[in-house]
Amino acid sequence: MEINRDIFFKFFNGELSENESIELISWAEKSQDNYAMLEKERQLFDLLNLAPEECFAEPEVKVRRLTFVWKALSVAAGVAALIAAALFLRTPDKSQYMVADTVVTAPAGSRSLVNLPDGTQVWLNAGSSMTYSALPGKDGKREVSLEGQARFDVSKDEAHPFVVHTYLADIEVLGTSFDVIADKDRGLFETALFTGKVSITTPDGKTSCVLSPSQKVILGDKKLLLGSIENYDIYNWIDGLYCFRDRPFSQIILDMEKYFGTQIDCQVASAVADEKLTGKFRVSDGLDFALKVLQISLDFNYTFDESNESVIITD
Amino acid sequence: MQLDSKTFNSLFTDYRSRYVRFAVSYLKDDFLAEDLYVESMMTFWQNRESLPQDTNVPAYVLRTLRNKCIDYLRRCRLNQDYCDSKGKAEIWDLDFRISSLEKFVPENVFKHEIEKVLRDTLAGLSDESRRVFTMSRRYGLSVKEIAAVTGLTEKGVEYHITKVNKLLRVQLKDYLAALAFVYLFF
Repeated sequence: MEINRDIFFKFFNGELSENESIELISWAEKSQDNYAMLEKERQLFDLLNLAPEECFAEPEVKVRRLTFVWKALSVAAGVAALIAAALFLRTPDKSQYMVADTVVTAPAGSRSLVNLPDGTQVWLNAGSSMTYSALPGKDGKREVSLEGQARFDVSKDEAHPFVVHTYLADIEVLGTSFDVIADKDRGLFETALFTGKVSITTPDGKTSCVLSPSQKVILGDKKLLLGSIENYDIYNWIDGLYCFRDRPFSQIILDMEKYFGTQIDCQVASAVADEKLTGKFRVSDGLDFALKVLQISLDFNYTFDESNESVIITD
Repeated sequence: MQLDSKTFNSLFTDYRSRYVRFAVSYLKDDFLAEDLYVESMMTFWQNRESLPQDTNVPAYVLRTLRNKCIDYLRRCRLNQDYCDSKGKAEIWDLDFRISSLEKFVPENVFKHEIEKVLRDTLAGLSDESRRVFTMSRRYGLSVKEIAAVTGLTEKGVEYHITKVNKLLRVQLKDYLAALAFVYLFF
């Protein structure tokens, strides 16, 4: 790591990794001059923090920090699960009709189009699953749960709001089209709105925001951020395209496992795994082709096992 | 000093976000920072009658807030359990934050036409640079988050931040030199 001035600000912001912090500290302890420089940088940092808002006046900035109680959320989710279980045990009204919830899963390597009873169309991306009930829930809401990525084209029915439950937040809709990523294992959450209007609410009810068309909400570092969609490429997955922008190789590999339905064992050094790449693949061109193209910009080897079911990537 | 509640309310709103931002950067805790800001404002309100009429209220509140932050961080430092749970780098960082706060002189923030320098510098930036810089400083977003929201690459975001920081350092050079000079005597 090169010690430069941007590193100082990252240190004050708590954005450095532990190893980077240790490196910076040993640099600061090397000489009095170094330490004095760090102190001076801290003063500048404080000054900027204390600068009046007009200094930044910027009406077109569309980012908003949503107060977001991360710890409370995980507790609340646990409580919600308990309550849900309790309700299920105590109110057997649904089972009266003998209607079980339906689970739809798009296996890794393929996308699925699901037509819901109310006319709503849902594209499920590879490796994602959705649960829905044929009957409207209590309060007449149409409810589905999602794990993974899906595109919704919700049929308009203002009397029966459409709700997508995810591990992180609920998305409530009137009639609209939007894309959701809710991947708990990888800590990803994103909702991008194309038409109509949706509102997003965390289980504690404290954070909620309404999206307008061409806006998106993403999960940042323990906070939800509202921004505008600048790049529509990544939403082309429903047409069988996998697009990525400035994405670490290790994340691309995780994505490709799902897109191509092949297990990929990535054993490269972290320098290669962290390398960021931008590109676009047609899923129908196959994994072998995609890996060959990636090899042009990144130095790695790969071998398919005999049954073609898994790939090992090495330096 | 004499101050009506209307003036107090507008002071409370005017300084809130920047003082909280300052406190968060030291405490690393949004809610605590907000609490200490409110407490600092209340301390001023309760003591206002015993203060001279020409008191610099923002500086007084900032000093109170700084003291409360120091108290809290020192208590953390003395808490054995807390320190045991932290790595060496984190303790070093904690010590550095305490010593930076101890050297922090609130009155200096209101000197040297600092606001004018900042305003002029930021007004001269390109829209893209100002937008990225605003997200970074005003909203405290990380490079990764800004990249995700704006669609720029992380390298692109870093380029803008570096450019603005460099510019500000040049513009504020005299001011920072003056601060360093003050420390020699206190």
